[in-house]
Amino acid sequence: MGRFLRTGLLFLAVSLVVYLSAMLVLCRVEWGGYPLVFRTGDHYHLKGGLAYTKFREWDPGAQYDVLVVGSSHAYRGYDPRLFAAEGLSMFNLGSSAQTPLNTRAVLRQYARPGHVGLVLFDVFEGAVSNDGLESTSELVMNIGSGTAAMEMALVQRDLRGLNQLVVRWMLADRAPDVVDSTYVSGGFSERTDSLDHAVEYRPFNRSLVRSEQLAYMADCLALCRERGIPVVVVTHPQPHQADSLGHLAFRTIIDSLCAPQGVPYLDMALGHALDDRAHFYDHNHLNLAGVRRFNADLVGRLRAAGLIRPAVGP
Amino acid sequence: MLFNSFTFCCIFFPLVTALYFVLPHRYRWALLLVASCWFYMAFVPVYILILAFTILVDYAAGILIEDSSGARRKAWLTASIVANVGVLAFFKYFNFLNQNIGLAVRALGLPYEVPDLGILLPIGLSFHTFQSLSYTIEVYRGHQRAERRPGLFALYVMFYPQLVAGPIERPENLLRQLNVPMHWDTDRVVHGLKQMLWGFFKKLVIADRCGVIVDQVYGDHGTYGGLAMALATYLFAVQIYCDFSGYGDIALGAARVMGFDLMVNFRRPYASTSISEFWSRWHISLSSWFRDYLYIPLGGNRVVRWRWFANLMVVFLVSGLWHGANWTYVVWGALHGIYLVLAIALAGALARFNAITGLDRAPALRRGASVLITFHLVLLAWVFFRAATMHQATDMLQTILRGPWRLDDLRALAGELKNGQLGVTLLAVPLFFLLDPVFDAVVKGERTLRGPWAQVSFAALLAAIVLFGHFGSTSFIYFQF
Repeated sequence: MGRFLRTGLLFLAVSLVVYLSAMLVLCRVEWGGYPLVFRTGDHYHLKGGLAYTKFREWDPGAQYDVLVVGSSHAYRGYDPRLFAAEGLSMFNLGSSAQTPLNTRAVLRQYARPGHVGLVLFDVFEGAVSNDGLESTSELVMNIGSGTAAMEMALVQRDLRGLNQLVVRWMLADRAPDVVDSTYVSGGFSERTDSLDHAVEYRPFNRSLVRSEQLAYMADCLALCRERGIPVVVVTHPQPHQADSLGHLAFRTIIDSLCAPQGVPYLDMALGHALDDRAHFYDHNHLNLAGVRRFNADLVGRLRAAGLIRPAVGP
Repeated sequence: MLFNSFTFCCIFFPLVTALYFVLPHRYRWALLLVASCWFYMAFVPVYILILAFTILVDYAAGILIEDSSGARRKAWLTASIVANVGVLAFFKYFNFLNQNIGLAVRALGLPYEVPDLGILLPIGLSFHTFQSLSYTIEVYRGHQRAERRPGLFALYVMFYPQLVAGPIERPENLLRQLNVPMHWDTDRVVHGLKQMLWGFFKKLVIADRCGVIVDQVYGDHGTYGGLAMALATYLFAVQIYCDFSGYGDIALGAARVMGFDLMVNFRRPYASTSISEFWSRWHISLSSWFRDYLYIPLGGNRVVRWRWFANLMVVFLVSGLWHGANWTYVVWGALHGIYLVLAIALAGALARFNAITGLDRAPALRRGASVLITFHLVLLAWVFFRAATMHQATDMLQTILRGPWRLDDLRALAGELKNGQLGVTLLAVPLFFLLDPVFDAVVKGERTLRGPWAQVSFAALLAAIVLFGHFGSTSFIYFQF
């Protein structure tokens, strides 16, 4: 057994050296303007873009009335400028395909007691039906906190996440490769175009909901409670043509997570007055016109519930 | 449970292996049986009842056959065959038969209202059914003593490394080894782990990467021209070999770690110089099963020539059906049968051709040409094996043969796949065929690497898996059979 352990350790050490040498070459040699490593698989995420910019803009010393987390629904649906007009400072840490697995790491590092007044956790069907790898790749590469990056890479339990972490380290001195032209200060991404073509609205499939993502979501709510930060779970408006019956099933799932922890769930997916074309730019993302209406409605509800401070009179 | 899953690699395999060596020999069968149930039930738990039925029937049949004589002995064997083939027929072929009978009846203008049952095929059904059948047949033939311990017999049918995709073991090999106390042997354990590593490399780095391209083209064949389809078909040949033999290496390696030697299922089949040689190198456990339990009982080649040909065709048609309930598999099997019949029928003419052209005096050239021709005959049959329907298969073959052959197709394909995946795969495949003879011989114990290269080569394999592996728990192709 002793010989086996010695042989195994030697083998792992040699493998690590070979792996790191190969990774170094793939990260340092470029092809078509990008390091070669990005040509070896479709899961690698380039440095830069919306997530990179917002995590660099985040001010750890600042106090934010509201912190928004969640997927693209979050960073495209909650505009800090509209919150500012209501007298609220808000920062949006939503990122592409962010799942509760990723949100937990983000909250751990960025939702500091005393610096964040309220967490708005946007959730929709897709966010809990996804393994989180897409978001892990993007955030591991671009999130400011190395600790959060490492947590996601390890929790993902997928070697692709660990590879992305090594790429992050090896390209630490590299300038960002991409820039997101839709970025608005405060973590928002602005789209002003409207849906101009027919789209397919997919029905909600209950069997695709991942139990581990629901568990991570429960962890997120518990984390906020432990830190004394109020949290509200929100589902933003969905088009009328989307699967409303399926959404009711989804609502039941989220209710069952929020209710035991006493977390309010503002489900604003149905019963709104938004237009499927004029206020959306694709099958489920709001455009700026839709965001204006939704944010005004949301802030009103949060105020009515006493979750944010009342409006200051003129 | 998939071999290429986190649960298998990080929990199941280390835990089961460690417990196996910690426990005394008399309890190990129970551990392996429980582990095999866990392994199987990770797919569709309720289907373990089908496996239990097969085990019960064949356990009882084995004892009844051994304890009886004459016509009763044959009757018990027949009962076992009927029960096993009945289960297989119901779960695998009911919908296929129902659909085809429906088509035929409706073509005659008659009503046909038997609905499809929407049966989900139990994973690995054809494999463990054949393994179980080989036991009752061997007991009937007197080559094998009936196993009186039900747990041990259940383990023979369910031994997890080869439960869902073979190799289809024979009782004289596996059942015998289950009785032997195995001891820790560092060299054997390391050898087994190396074989598993080679299997993972074939599956994750080669097969699954090829699979992305194959799925893209075969899934949208109307979009692509002959060049993309030909490329996808070549890559499918690589994919299915690396997927299936990769599974085999992981299975053999996992068993070897615990001390068991399973049957070798592949011997670099694409280096074959004839179709007959191909079948002695490809899925050896299945081809030898058909040889021993179907071809030879039918008379084999010790009959008049037309019966010999008929026997070959029967074996390969059944082999096609064994793979799946679809006409594409039947045609795949039929093609291999026809190849073999033609090879026998034209053997004399071929020898004269070699003599006239001087090829018999250039063995290297003749061998190269034979390998190339054999590979392309196999490739032609793979089109039917991979296509979803007969229509797709014929459509694709027509496009490959007649064109259009457009370079733009490859650019479009590269664009669809993003991030240079096509380029990486096209570099990896030739590299694999350079490495395969070396690593295949090493993991089979036919060759030894010495010096630092011995350590570095397998370390490089592990690094390549981590760097270039296509993760995401893609299933093995042969699980569907």
